[in-house]
Amino acid sequence: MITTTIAAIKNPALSIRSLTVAYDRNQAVRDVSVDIKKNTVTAIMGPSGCGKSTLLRALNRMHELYENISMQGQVLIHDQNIFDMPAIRVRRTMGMVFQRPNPFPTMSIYDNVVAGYKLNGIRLKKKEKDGIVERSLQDVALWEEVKDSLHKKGNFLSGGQQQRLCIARALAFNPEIILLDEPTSALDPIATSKIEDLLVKLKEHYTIILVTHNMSQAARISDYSLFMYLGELIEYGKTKNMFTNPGDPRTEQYLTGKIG
Amino acid sequence: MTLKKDDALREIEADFERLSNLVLEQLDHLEQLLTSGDLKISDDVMHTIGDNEKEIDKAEVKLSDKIINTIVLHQPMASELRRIMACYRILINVERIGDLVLNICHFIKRIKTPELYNQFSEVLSSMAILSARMVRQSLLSFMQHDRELAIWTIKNDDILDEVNDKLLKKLLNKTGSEEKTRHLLTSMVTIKEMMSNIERIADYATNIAEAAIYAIEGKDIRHHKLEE
Amino acid sequence: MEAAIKMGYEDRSSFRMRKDKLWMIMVVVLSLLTASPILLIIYKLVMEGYRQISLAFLIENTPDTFAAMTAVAGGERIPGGIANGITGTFLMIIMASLIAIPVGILTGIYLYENQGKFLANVTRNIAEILQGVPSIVLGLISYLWIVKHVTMGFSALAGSVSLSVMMLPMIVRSTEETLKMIPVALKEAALALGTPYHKVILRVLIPTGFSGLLTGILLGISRILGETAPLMLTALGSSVINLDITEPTSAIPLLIWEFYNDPNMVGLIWSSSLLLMILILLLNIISRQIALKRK
Repeated sequence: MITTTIAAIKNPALSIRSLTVAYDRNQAVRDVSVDIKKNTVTAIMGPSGCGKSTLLRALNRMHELYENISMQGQVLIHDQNIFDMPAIRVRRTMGMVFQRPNPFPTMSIYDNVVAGYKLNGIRLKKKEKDGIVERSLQDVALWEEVKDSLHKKGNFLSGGQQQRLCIARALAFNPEIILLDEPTSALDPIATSKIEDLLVKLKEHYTIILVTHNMSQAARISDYSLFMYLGELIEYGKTKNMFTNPGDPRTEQYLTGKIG
Repeated sequence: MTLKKDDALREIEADFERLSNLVLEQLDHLEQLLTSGDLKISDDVMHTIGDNEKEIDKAEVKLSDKIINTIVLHQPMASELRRIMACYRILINVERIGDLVLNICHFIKRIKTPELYNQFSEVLSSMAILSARMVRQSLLSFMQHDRELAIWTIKNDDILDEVNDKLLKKLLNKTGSEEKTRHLLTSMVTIKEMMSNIERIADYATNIAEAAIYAIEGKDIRHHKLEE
Repeated sequence: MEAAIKMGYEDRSSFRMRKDKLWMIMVVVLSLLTASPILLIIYKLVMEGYRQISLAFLIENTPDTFAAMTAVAGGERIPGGIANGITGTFLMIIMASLIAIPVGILTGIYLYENQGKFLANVTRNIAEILQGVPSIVLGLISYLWIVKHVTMGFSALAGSVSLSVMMLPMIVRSTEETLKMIPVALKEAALALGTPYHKVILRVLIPTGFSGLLTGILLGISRILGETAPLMLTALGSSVINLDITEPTSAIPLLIWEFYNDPNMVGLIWSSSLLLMILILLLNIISRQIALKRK
């Protein structure tokens, strides 16, 4: 049951229609339909096991890494269903950042940023690459800190810096949408707050979809929130309304700590 | 974490109930005084009312504090948040009700014309009884989550306003049939009301200043003398 | 401790400390015992063999028996060297690697990708079994396949094939294990960038697991360096340097066997063995350095 407390979104960045994702017989995501507004930060929250990570990963078809997962329904970008496009193209339209920072250990910082191009065999002139590296690192506020060690491998960076590097790597490919799966769970509070500020800044040019188990984080930085429970989308609306006046009693229970 | 939050919220509800009862007690005293029609208020009663008022002020400061602490420590959301924010708003009004009761008592002592007073004491007492009832119902509506009681209170405000108007007219009529005198008295009453309203503006300014000091120093100086 | 004593338990801590010491001494003694054969071997080899090792030893071919006999009778250093063995060993190792490395790594990748599948499990089991097959049996098989049907005669190729089959299980296993140890997060990161899966393997997984793969290969090589039995049935041996893979070739272990059997050239076994041990030692050190550096 969905409670929509907002007006219909024209021209959404992403339109999810009746998406169901099942592991063997278990439905992890049931019949979810929602439109995501462009240039906003949308948070997906809910207790453990509610299907939020599964939903996020379905959006860039990461589930195809594993065998026994079946998906039904549609996800539309610019009116095209992502399941009708080559998976590779879908993944290039959406950058993904994971819970644990995972820069490629065999590559330098420079190479990490342009890894998207390198791994896909796309050749760029050195000047273009330099430009992309500088722009992406500037966007994530990492440029000043690493500009003199671009060709060193990234393992001397702190957790927060590594995560920002991973965001830069996703940005370098100029995606429209950035998907983040609990990006600050493994980080300390200061690193977390830097990344939260970064995400709010980035929404000017990108659409940010963020899975978080920390409802304060959702409250702090998201414009819209999705609440999921047991695989279903329970409520979706503007964050400030949902947090003060939730429509569904289950949302109320989650926010007041009674469930999850 | 929810355990501590639930305890804190429960404490707030309990303290609020205690405070409500104090105020309702004050209103009971007021009802009695007005119903009896006595211009003399015994020292005992005055004392009790005065003590209660101090209690109410103290309790109000403490409860405000508790609410603020609960918000910062437990980040209540949704209905829990709405509840303590409403509680905070109600507190301010409850404290003012207490002040008004004390004021009315002082006014009773100042009346020099017992015959005039006697003619009005019945109506005054009915008004007081209705007002007190409204306070009781509205407080109950909050404590018992009862929507009907709240709506009843809001509707009764109109009735009370009407009674207020009628009473004022009656009061002015009693002072003789001369139009000039009546206009004089009406103007005096109106000017007195204007003065009261202006005075209340100043009062609110004081409230604003006290709030500013809270913001700056974290000290709630309401009901305290300024130390300088 | 005081509380335990108060409760009536005796103070057994000094007894325990003595027990600890006893165990320590036993462990040290047994370790020395285990290490001693290697130390004794190296000592003996160095003592007996250092005199023979010189530049000539490494560059010249094996002498014939007469020259050796004359030299021993005259109390002189035996002329010649083991150049044919050295080149033969290198030739066959390189060829065996060329066969075993691609096959081994690809099989390792296949096993990694298909964990739990029936065919993968069967393959893995076969690789394990292969590791236990006696080397001489592998030599026989290579004799049948290559010596009889391909090169029509003993050849380096046959030798390489038998050696490659010996290397294979090690490479397969170390590849699979190395890949399994790479965090899934890296695979996901590469995939999320829109990388086609085969590129994820080639450009992310393999480079990241490079040190593990290299260690597996080097261990495989150090194993086959000293194999003799299969080479006796396949490469046969030769008294001159041979770089034609269809012709019989020598190898250091083969030469050691030949020297052992020829009373005139017995003296050469120590230096040849010493050289072989040095090679194996070098290989081990290199592979450990690589593993450390990559950490």
